[in-house]
Amino acid sequence: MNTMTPHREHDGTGLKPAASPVPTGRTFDRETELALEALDQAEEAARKLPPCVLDDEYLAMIAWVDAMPCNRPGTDKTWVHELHDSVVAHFATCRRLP
Amino acid sequence: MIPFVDACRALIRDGVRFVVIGVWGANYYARSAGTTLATLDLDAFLPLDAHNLVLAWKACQSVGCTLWAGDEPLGPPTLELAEAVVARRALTTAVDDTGAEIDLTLTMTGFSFAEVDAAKASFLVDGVSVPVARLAHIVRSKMLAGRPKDQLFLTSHRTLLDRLMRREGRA
Repeated sequence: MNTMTPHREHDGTGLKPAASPVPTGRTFDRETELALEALDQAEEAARKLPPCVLDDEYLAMIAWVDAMPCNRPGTDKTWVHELHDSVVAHFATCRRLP
Repeated sequence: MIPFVDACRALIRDGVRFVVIGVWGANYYARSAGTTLATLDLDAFLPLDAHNLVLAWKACQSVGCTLWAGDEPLGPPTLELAEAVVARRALTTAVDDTGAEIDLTLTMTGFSFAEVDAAKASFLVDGVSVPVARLAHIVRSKMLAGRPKDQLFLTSHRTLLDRLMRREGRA
């Protein structure tokens, strides 16, 4: 699984309140500061990505995926949920080593 | 119990009209774990229908979900409340006891519910037939939404498909 984004996904019109911002004026421990800086850098990098265009090549790839035997109507996709659960469980049990 | 599945089962049991969209929707088209993208919640696209929204809320509650509007708990799921939510095209969220979130969204950038529903696919998840938007609709909506995270999704998704095609000798 590609851990593309830690943010909540939504295809709406922005009515959902944004994720709680980090309060300004507060200080965090060094590790947390580094983690927040990394998130800022990732967000900035995402902003600088060249726009991804839905051109003929991309549309052809989508049509190819859509027509794959594994994507026929009624195909069992339980594994998608099991994968998600295993990833969540994995990170829930991760502990930093001293 | 598989998070999300019980809620989907309840939505279908109660006759709620919805289609899964967003990254979860795209992940149903993945061939393997390596071609999925991480997301924390499932987006269920619903029509602008207050009755349907009330059914959705009650179905989610029936499997132990709590309902939220933004950071506030949603009040009792009445038709009046649903009409106000539909009028605002506002988002409500169902959260189960594992923290899994289902966004009950009334909008999908660039598409009406009828368009997406008419072309949807259905996949089986733990015995439940889950309605899923076509991949082309999901991707086009993300392109039209155009937020940084949508661009990030598109870039990552295109790279995954390109890699998959090369592996399959199609490119």
